[in-house]
Amino acid sequence: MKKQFSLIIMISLFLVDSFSAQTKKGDVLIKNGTVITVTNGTRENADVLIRNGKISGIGQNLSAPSGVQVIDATGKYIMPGIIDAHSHIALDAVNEATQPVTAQVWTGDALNPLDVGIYRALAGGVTISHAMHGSANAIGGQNETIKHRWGTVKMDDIRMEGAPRTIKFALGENPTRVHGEGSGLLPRTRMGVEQVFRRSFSEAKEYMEAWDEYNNNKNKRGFKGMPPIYDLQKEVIADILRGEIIVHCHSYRADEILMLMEVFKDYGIEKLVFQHANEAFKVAPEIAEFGAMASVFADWWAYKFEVYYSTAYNAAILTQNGVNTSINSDSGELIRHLYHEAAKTQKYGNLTDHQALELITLNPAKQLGIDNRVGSLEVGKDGDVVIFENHPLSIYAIPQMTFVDGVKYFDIKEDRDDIRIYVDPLEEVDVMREMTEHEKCMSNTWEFLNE
Amino acid sequence: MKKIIWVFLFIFTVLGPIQAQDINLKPVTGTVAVTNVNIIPSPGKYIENATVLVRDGLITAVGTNVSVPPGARIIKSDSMYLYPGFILGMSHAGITMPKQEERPEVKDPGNPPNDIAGITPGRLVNPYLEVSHKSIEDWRASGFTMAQTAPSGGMLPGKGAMVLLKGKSGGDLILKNESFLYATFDGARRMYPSNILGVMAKYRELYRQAEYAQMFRDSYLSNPTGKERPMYNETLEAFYPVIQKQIPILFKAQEILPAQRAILLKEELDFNLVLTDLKQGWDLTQEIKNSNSRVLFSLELPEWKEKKKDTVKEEESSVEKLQLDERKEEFLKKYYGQMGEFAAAGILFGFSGLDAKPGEVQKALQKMVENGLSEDAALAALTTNPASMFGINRLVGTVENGKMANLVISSKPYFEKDAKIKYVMVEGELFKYEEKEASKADPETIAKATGTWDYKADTPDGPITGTLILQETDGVLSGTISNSLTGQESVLQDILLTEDRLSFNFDVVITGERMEVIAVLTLSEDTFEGSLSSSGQQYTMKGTKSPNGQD
Amino acid sequence: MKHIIFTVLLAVLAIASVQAQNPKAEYGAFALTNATLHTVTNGIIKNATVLIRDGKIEEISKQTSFQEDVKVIDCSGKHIFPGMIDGGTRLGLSEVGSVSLTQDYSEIGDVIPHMEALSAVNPNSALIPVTRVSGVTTVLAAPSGGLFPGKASLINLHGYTPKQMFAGFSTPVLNFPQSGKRGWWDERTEEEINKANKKTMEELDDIWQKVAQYHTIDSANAAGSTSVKLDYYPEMKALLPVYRQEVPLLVEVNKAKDIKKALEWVKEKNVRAIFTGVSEGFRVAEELAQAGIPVIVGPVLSTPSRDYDRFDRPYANPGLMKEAGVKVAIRTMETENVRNLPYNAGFAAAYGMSKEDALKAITIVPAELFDVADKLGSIEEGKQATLFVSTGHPFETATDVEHVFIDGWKIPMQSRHTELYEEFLQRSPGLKK
Repeated sequence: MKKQFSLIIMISLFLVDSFSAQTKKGDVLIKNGTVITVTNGTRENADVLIRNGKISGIGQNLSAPSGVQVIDATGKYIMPGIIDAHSHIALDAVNEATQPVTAQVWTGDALNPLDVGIYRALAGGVTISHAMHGSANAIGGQNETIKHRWGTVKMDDIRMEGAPRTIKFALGENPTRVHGEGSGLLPRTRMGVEQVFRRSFSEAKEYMEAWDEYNNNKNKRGFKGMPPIYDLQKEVIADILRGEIIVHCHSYRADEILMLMEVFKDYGIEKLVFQHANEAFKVAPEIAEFGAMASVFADWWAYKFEVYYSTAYNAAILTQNGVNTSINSDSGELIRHLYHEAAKTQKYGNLTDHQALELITLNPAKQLGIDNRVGSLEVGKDGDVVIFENHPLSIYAIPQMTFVDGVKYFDIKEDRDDIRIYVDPLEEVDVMREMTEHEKCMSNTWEFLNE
Repeated sequence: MKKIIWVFLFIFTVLGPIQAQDINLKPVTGTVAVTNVNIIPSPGKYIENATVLVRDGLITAVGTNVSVPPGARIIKSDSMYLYPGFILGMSHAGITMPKQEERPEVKDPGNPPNDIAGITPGRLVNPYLEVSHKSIEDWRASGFTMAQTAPSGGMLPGKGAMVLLKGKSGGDLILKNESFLYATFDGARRMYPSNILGVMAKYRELYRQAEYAQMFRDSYLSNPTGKERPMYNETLEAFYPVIQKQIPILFKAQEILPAQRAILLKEELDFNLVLTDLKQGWDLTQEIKNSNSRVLFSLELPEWKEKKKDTVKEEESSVEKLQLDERKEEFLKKYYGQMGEFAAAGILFGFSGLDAKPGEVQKALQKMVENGLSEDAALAALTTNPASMFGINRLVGTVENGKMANLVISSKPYFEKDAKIKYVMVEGELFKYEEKEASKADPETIAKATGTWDYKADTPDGPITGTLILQETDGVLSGTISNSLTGQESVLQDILLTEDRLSFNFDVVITGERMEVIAVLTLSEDTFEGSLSSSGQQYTMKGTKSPNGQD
Repeated sequence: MKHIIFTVLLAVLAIASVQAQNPKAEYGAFALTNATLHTVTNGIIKNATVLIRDGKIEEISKQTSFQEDVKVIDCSGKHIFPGMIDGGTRLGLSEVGSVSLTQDYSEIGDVIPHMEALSAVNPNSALIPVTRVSGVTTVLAAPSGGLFPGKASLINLHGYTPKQMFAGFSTPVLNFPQSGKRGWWDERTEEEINKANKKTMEELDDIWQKVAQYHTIDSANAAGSTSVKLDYYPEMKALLPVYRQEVPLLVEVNKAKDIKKALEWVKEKNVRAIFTGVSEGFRVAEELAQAGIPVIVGPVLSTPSRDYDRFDRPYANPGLMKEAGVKVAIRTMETENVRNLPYNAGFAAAYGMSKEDALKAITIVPAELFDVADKLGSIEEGKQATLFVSTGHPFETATDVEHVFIDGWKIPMQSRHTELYEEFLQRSPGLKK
């Protein structure tokens, strides 16, 4: 078993290698801007040099090696590409809502690089998003961290090579509505949700042990045993127990947040990020003590009952209590102005510019386990950069150019009509949405809802 | 918009109904000579004014110096063109699937039984294959002598077969059964796996389970003593020949993302892949080549309507609209131009016709040739490519001595605009096609048909009622039909009226899916009788003319 | 299920009663001194004083000493703006987005113009304080649903009864028949859409014919010139003021093609209309300007309606229409986050509209459209004292709103959100009890 598994890993590593060899890497020198590094303060009249997709220099009067394009950013702001720790853009399907545990599924299978949402996110300075499974199931699917390399048709081109594996969990109303109310199956309550986790972890543990026993004995003389039945779901949950996957848990209420931390303590699981977590502020000290993180909305509330007792000051309270916090979108609309969402923490809780910008750069990078690569402007990190007209926290901030790996994927001066990559030659009727579609978290679940 | 529909209808009614007729000549002798014909024995070869001699289903001689034995039936094909019989890489030819329950009761949607979740890889074509199915005749009339066919429905509908497009019983048709495993990305409704997320995971799990099951079964068979007996598992066993690479998986992947997903699975699980019914492959040349996958391009591509100036409404001819139309045109070129690129890249491909209309195939192929596919490569994709892809190249695919007598004879070079198929031979059996005159019904017949008809069709789920309205402009019929099932009113297409026989097609959308319905009616004075058929189901239909509806 | 809903309801009620124990608003005479005054209609006045008395702006001056009964609030370094007006919301009509029993904006029926949104406004909604402390003082509470879903009402966000909140404007809404797909999930074919659209247009014309008839008989009745009796017909009665041009009709219309059609329709029927939504207004801005139809556009923070539209269309839409000469107000169409109104205007300003026009679009323009410009929408003597004091321009998120006055009432700067902040910033007990 182990052998086979490591073979899969080797194959996938090989594949990863071949992707990264294929995706474009750029060279560029951005001169004379106000450089917001996030980790090393803000420097006036400074340059950022990117070579072969990586930041190779930050400082004054850098000179461009021959052949490297120079961009004058005088009077503009240069900051790291914005990272969205919760999104559903570029996905053909979000929920496999048919059972309360679907650890075996993976949004990486449903990637859609043709989604214009990617370009619109770039126009908002977002270079990386966490393409998550929805929140219909207590244990949802595995997610994919994507880089917004717009223009490609290849699913593999937008995967962020080497990003750690993550998985979606969900608590509260969504799983209890879909399964308990919708299908008449456990869980119908928050009590049930807890037991779904305990059962899944316990069974995955038994499964691991059964395989270990089989593998230890299969080559022994006279061994007559049968291999356990291969179960992809348990394989993945076993990897959570092994600490190989970061759990991102959709959650709202304080009690359920505490519950999950208790369960995780019992099973020795440490990597945990609470998503949405509208009531996380109520248990900020406990979250900080556990070492969990939180990815929240700037001001969303009251759209359902479990967010009725919440506050837009959530991010500020969490930050002041030492919890690593990010602001996410969960929406093809909000992802276009996460800089503005982060700026709201200055209204709701008076965060400093530095604190507010961390919420959409370094902090989400930590939550996705990619802070060694992105989230700040430092030599050696990926050349994911946005140039802003006006300070990014001002309402008048307008992203001018967005780079991923040193390649420019958005330039407001080159913006044009119809940026679609594929066009349906038979399309006759215009799609005219009545409203912006929010909360994609519950996509593909309507069949299970009673309403 | 109305105008566009009108023009559309007009094109249909004028060009559409030149229908070929399938006349089955009973052979007196098993020896047939096609004489004085221009032969393209295989792509790129050409023999002028030659003869093909066929004896008992096999080709026995090809050339200019063939002596025709006395008593042989002679098919004079002066100045016609003879090709190897076409082979359709994938279809549902001859298949009628049993009607499925709309919403099967499932207690736990997370763990449904395999058969109702669309996981039936062990299913074979035999129980569903009918020689009388109209598709067999239709494909044959379009030059196809063989086709692969498979059951439909769900993510793993079953295993397919290579069939000959003639025979007396369903079983007769089968040349090679279990020749491939058919797979799709279709989720099950309201149960696991319900969409691409679950479907991908299910493939991985089933494949791995099958690998282990096969491994253990082999070890059990070699030495069962002391071992627990492995349970028979129909689903997993169906994968064994795939794992052993004895048969490929034909993965239905029409668009660019499903195609990538199929390649992803192939690379992870390691099976022989044929991307099936591919429509958007132009950006994947490299990937397909690198992964050593085969391709069956769909013969159902977006219809390339020739633009008529007056169809563009004044208010919509803005710069924006023109830009959008330009982009649509750009993509039509990609759809029809990709085959040429694949051929140039040396990727082996054939064609499939999962939802193609056989009668439209020639037009689509001509469009491909117009957009860069050489005629030789097009012919290869219809003959030698599928033959070698599916391991029957020693049997069929070319016109040579010793091969099965599968032939197509066309009035002109097949890829020329008004070329018509005159004869098709399948294993020596000859089918002749005569053009029927595009008969313009006489005014009296038209008067009988036009007006408003109330109809009723009996289905097992109860009657469907509605109104059929037919009208005539300059001798051309048009009309609409409503139905009580969906409440929609549909525009009639392909209206054909000869004496007392009226037939037409229309589309209805049921739960988001477009279905084509065909009506064939016999008219009396104020009544008609006939049938409605759609996706293999047929219902009787009766109607009466409503007296006040005539205006 | 029922049980759950009941529990939810109880909880909602409980909250409402807690809310009632908040500090009360203060009424009286206030002097806001040394402020930078953004009058909206008369430019910016520095070091100015606004004297509030009897609910009104009594005087704008440079004065710094006042009678004894006047409470002086030093606004040095601060800014005063008129209360912001949101031209389209569901505020007061919905409490919890996913709990249908807390939602009162959509009634059964397709033609129900007599439904009064004002009657369903919940003055004790927890959403109201959250909104008004951000300086949004006045909103249009609008019903939604069928062709004529009811009457929208302008309300001030202070008061214990809908009547106390009513800001003097109420009018029917028309959802103009749509010819586009409603979303990616809309499976209808072009034919089906066209047919449905045609049918609704016929229905609409039929209704208008009936209103005309109703008007004729009603007028004749009033003049005593007929004995034809009018039966109880609330739908017609509700539309009569629109027919007589006493009030404007709010026409919700978004797609370019539909906007053009709506322009024809209002011209033909001679209806005084305000177009709302207007997400594709930029495509037909010239036509809108020519017809002289004002618009309430928004939300500005929304995705483009078509995949092939430029990313910034919704941001730029208000500015493009304004530039063409259209009178533009901005709305959020929000419920719990109506407080983002200044940011919707701010994005319009960032992407092309002038800052001044964007501010007008959420103050004086909606006041004019709703026939309340004599009371609201700017800082002028004699107008209602509905305004706020802030540390900067309300478009910027770094700006704090420090005081809010509605009809001269000084509003407590407290809401669910601020209360939770105060309680939990440093929770006590913390980790250990």
